[in-house]
Amino acid sequence: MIHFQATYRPIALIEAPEIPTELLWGFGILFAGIGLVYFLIIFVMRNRLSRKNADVRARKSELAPMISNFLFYNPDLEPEGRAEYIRMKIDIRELLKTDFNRRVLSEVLMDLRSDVSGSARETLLALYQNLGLDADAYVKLKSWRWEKVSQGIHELTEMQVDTSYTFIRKFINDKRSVIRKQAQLATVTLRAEGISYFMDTARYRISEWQQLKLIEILRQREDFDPPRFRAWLTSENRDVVLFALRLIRHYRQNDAAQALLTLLKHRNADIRLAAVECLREFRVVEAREPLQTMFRKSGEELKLVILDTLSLIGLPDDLPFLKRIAEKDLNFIVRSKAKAVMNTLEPDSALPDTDLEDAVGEAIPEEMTIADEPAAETPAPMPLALLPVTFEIIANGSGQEPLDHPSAAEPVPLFPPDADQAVSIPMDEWDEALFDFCLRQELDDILSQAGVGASTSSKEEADFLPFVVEFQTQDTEAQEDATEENEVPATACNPENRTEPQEEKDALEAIDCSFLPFVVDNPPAMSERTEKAPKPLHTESSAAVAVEAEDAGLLEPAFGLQGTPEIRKAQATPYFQSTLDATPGKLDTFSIFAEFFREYDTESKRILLKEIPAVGGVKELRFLHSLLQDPDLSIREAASKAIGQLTARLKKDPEKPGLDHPASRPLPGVGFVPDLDTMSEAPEKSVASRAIRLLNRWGFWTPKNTAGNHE
Amino acid sequence: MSNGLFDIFLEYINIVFLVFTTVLFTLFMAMGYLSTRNSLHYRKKNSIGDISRVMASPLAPSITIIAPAYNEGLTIVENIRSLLSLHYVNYEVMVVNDGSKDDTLQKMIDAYDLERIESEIDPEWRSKPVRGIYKSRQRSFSKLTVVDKANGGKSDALNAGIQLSKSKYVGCIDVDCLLLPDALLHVVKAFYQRSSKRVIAVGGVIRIANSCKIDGGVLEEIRLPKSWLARFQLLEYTRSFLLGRMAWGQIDSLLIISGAFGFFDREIALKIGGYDTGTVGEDMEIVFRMRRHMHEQNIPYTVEYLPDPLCWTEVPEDLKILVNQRDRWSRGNLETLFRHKDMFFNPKFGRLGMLSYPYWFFYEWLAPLLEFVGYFCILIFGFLGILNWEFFLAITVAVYAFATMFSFYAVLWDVWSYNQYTRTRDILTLLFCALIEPFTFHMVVVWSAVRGNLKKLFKVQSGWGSQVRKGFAKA
Repeated sequence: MIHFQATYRPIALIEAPEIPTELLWGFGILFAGIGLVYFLIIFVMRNRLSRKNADVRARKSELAPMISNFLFYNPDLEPEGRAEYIRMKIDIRELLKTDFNRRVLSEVLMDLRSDVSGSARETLLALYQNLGLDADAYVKLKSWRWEKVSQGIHELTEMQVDTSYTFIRKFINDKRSVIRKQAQLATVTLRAEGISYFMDTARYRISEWQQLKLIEILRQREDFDPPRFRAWLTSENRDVVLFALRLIRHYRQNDAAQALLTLLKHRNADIRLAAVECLREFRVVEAREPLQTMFRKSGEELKLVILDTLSLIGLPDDLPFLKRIAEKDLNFIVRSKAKAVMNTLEPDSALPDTDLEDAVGEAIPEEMTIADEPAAETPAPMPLALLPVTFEIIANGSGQEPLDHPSAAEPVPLFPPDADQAVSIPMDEWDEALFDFCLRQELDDILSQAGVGASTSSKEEADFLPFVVEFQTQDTEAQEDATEENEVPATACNPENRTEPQEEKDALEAIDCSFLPFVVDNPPAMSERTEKAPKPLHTESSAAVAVEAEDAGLLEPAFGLQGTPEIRKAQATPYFQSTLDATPGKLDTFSIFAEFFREYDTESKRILLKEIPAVGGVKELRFLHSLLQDPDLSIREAASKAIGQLTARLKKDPEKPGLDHPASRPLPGVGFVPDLDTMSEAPEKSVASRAIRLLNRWGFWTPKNTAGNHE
Repeated sequence: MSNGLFDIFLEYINIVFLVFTTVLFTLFMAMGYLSTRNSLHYRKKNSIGDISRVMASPLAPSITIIAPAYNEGLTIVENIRSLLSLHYVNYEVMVVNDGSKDDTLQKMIDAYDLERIESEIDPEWRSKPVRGIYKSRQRSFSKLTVVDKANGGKSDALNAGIQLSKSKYVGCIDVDCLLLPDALLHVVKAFYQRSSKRVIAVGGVIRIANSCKIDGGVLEEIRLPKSWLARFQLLEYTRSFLLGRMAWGQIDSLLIISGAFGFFDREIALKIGGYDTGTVGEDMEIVFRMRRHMHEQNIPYTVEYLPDPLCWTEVPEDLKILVNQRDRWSRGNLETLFRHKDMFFNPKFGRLGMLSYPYWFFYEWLAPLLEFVGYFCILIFGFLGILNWEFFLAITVAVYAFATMFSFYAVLWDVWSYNQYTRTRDILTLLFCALIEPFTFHMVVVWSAVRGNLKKLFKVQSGWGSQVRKGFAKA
């Protein structure tokens, strides 16, 4: 018989293992049983907790009045006197025979401690020790349970048991963190010298939270004479060093400058940060270079603090360093901060460079006419009083580089400050700075394209200008009707170097332009620009003049118009009269000081009047004479005095130029030019920012609207 | 081989379920132990001292609470008032109006006298355009900042807030959350109490405010929700927050911080690029990335977890909204796990790679799917007559008993720790919920998870869904 042997052995995995179903049932029953136990515990525990809380509440309500009576009882004043006092004390002592009462009484005293002050508080603290409750706390210190020890330390600290200081401070380096931290707090709380002991002996790390609490304890100490914390800047425990730095800063102990500078090299970033904060606090100027050295390897927070410090102790020499950061640092906040610091050290050393619209590059659409646009919003012809002002565009010799000095001048003052302020739109500093910058950029661009090569300038060059006036051709009569009343031909103010059409001559006769602030004299540059405007009457005469809105009231007499009461009132002022009397042939009679007078208050005017004799010329004399009619007596007196001084000076030293010097003469083609240097030094606002403010007021200039739209 | 191969296959299916269940039991028991230990320690440690003493400390770090708001016009004013009344000196409330279509922004402007201010924004920061930043003209509301931006979702709004904040820490919360007055003190303590590790994030328990009595942004009386759906969620939250997350916190392996109450070290949050806007599970994903970042930088760090009931919020009382919410959570879970799949059993990430990630993979993502398959198998096997009834009943009873026991333990722990539901009837109701939950609410959760995964699998477009707020004032 052939016997076959199996060629394989069964593998265990093929045979599925037996599932211990009984075990599962067992587990099921076990879990259900445990669940049932939990169910019972929940309610038993709740009942116990409730009962316990109720007992404590009841006992507290019994003990608290007793303690309060005892605290506020004065045996000398009460009829029963000392006997009653002793009886109360005995009652309390009777209660202390049970542990529960002792515990509750401790809690009551702890609760009351925060509610009383002065002598009552002293009595309370003394009572705690008189009743021997501190003994319970001492017993807790010997417990093996960390929470008990911690609780004992806490009680002794809160009840200010001074004698416990020596017992507690030995826990300051306990390996159990909760005990250690509680002991540190107690050591600093119980005695003034505790902080020194703690700083001397602390071996473990001190958490930020612990430092926060320790400083809070020190802050709340009365009559605390802090030790010189620089002593611990050499500690081997880096958290002690850090804490010492914070304490140095908190208590303003500025006697550790050298140590602080050394700590800037510390490996730990927190210590470096705290050291920099101290240096900032104490304005340690010697830190400038070390701060710059360490900057590169610092994190964002430290970088910001360093920059903040430099803003306080930095010098203009630091600007290149700051500029590098502003340009190259990867962190946006750091870059922004660097720019802010630059501007703090030297105003306008960092200017906005992003999101600026390239206004020069924007052309006015073909179909767009300057006169049409406002008509859409204000169908009525623009009233004379809304005439805008334009800029003086000064081309340099090469036509490539902008001039060094500000290229836009301010309008001639026509109204006293009140009249100006009445219509001014408030702008915050940021807006002004940005607009100032935008304007400069625009003007720089225009100037770089104008200049000698002005004839090739493009139509976009002056598109930011508020209102360009052209002499209209006959086929644009409709538009002319809407604008001619409002517009002042720029060329009318520049009678030199060109042939004046009859209309301009008429206008010149009708309008006294001597008061106009500054006039665009760039006909080639403007000509192409105006090609996009309604067809001009005289294409060759393309200079634009616009008059500041409120200034336009000045034109009213010239046009035989009657102004508003405000305008008429303004017209009665000496400034108005002095400027209205001027004629084109007497443009040099305009004094730059008139502008300042329009802006400044009385005190500033008086200061200016003191300055005029030293720098003024003939035109200032005229101006000063006009001031003799000023309603303010002090101004009149000051003007009179200035006239005397200036006259004497001019007689004595006729060569001294003052503001009449040829250097101050108008540029070719420009009716006049104010002394830009002087104006740029004006303390209030730059010329450009004021000009842009005017533009903005009329809606000609906004960051997104540079095409000259206006109301 | 007395059985056929098919029978062996069936036996192995049973074994898979048995092993899975046994591991689950073991893990849950371990979690119960760890959470108990952690809670006891936390409670003892924090029973001493008065945390409010440092409220006005000059060293108190700055915190910005960022609250994204989308169509929250009904409750926004009241919610902000609550946020402005916290007991802390150095904080700011930043409400980010995420392109609301209702009058959320206008209500804030009117109620808090807001005016637009200028502020620089990093041009390289990726978030939807900020339309305006508002501050109040009144000094009493000086802590409030409102950011109005184009709609980009919650993550995008939080990113904008993180970027615009200048504080050391940022708190990302739901605007309808109610924070207890000393919530920030607890948070600061959690951030500051470690000396050997950097705390990069702090999370906390979310408690359910449905039916609670809230007046003027102050929680006046804690009540059990009237809605059964909310009651089930209360039980689930208690189990999850008091036991689950507390346990993970104990072993420093917490991988999720609730989007309703999470605080982050702003520097780290910025370094990792803020929230991921491409996932609906952003609250989990950001913790993953922050942890990874710290691991890669080899900097000692930790994520702290606060068991104190500091944050109260409404939960859905509508089944459809609940399903949508759980569907979204499921998708978020999957997306996050997929993005960080290289952490799976990767020893480089220590406990995160070897324990936390696998747990999340098997028991947060896979378990509902497996459970669903199990139900399906029971039906099929039962219909085919091949169901091993003895095993089925035994394991069902064991699982049910364990689930109930675990829920009871959560209730027990809640009573011991905080004892907030003082009426016996409330506790009985919660325990009753624990008894019926496996057959009711749990089924809904499983189905939602399956739906979420199916959506993800078949790339069905689905966003956040919506939550209809009743508003605390009406509660």
